[in-house]
Amino acid sequence: MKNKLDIPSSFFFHLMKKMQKDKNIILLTADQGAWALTEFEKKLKKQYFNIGVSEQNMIGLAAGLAKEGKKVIVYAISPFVTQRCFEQIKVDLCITNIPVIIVGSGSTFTYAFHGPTHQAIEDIAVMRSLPNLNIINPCDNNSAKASVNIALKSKSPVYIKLDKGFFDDVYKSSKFNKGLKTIKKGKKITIFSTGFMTQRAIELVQNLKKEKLKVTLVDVFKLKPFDKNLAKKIISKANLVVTLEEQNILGGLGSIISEVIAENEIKVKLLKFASLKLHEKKLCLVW
Amino acid sequence: MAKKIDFEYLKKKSLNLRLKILQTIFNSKTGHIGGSLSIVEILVSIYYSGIFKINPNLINNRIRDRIIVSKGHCTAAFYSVLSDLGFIKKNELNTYCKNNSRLGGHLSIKVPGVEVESGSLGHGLSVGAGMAWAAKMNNEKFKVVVILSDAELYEGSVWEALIFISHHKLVNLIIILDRNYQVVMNKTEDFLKLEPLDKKLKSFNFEVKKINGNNINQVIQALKNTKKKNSNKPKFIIAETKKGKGINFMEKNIKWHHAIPNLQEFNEGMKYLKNEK
Repeated sequence: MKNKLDIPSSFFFHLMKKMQKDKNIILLTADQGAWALTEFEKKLKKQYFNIGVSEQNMIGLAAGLAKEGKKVIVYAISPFVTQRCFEQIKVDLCITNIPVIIVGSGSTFTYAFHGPTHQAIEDIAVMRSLPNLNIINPCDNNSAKASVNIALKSKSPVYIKLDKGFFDDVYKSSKFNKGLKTIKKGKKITIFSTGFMTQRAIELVQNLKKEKLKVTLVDVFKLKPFDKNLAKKIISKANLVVTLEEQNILGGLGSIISEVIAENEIKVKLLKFASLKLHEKKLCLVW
Repeated sequence: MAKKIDFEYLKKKSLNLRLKILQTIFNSKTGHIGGSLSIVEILVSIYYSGIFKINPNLINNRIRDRIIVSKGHCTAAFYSVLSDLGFIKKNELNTYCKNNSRLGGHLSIKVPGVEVESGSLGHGLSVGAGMAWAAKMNNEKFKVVVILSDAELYEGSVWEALIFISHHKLVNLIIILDRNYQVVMNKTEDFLKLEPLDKKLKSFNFEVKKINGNNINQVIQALKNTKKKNSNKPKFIIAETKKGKGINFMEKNIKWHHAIPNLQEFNEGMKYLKNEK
């Protein structure tokens, strides 16, 4: 039974409740809408602002507001709110460790049909390189709500990569803080997936079950900081580790897992599934 | 009532600051001398006149005025001021740009008195606007002063911020441009014109004042005027200065953006400044 609310709506309605209780929370959008935001316009006039398509200025403003004690969330489509203003995030937020929350919508291929400018396939690799920055990639409504709770309490900047769509619940509640969750327990094959790909992986695991293959599935909710110790334990029990992500193969989840394997000298096979050279092919992906 | 301003004292401070800049850069063999010398009267007017609430006892205090030096390469000047006023110890200035020192070639928030990390251009204005906006939301009285360089005006982020500041009428924000008409490799009007800057800014709905930024009386007067409450426009002071100001052979000379004086040049510069005393 799929949820009646999609991931962004769950995220924003949960955030709206928090903002109604705490007038110190400010939401800035760089002219990126969402269905739920029409409610913000009516109910949170003093806390919600469209500052225009000016992502660099938005990050700077957020840093200034946060320095003066505001809790600030900035919002735009993923590639624009990460790569367009990369240096502002680095200098204004990360070097100085200012806990602004960056929310990217249209994660990865949500806007696939709009072409490569709107596909965020490098955001995790790029953002992962920044000091102090946390990265969260929810895969359902409950984990989207959990990301609100966690980010509002964070003392460091957080990037939340929000997928779009109506999905089944993967997490039973939004009251958790763990970065990795074993969703299906299988035997010698372990899949690590994140965000939207976890939804696809659930289907995959069910199909493999019909083929009499019992596969372990782990959702990676927090990409940074990454729970290396728990990942090490899980990987050590497997013969084959598979990573599933929509990212470019360089620097995303596959790279994170291969770092854990290399650092701990674990003898295991690794298969990385990711987007390869998509920009070169100038593909327009629609599913 | 603010105390009467002693202009002779401020002029003396300016001269001493120039001597300090030259010594500091000569000792460390690094730093940006041209832009440090051009900003002297602006820094002295802000930090020594009593117009703004800033002193080492007010670090992190909410009532302090926020001074953001967005042209972050003028640390030889700015850290000399901070050291003179006791934000940092006087002898710490001897570590300028040396290994393990927190006093680097560009502004770091590790240094008490520095509000915003700087070095990459075009950041300070947006952050300052955020601070001024927060003050407006919270009904706080402090002012935010942002000091920009010519080169920053080539950054798109500055113009994004100007649009925002103008629309939101951030009248508690004062922008001062250290307009020395030079960048690293050229003179601004020769390679990529910025003028007519005052007209551009007026059309953005700023209250624009063009002054001689190396004339302490004019800088003080312009800063005082920003405190008048009869304007609902954000303030932009174009402080026209000379890069390398005060040392004759450095003035308006492209070389002295970040050239390091050799012993002869150092002696000559010191002699020239001391003759001014």
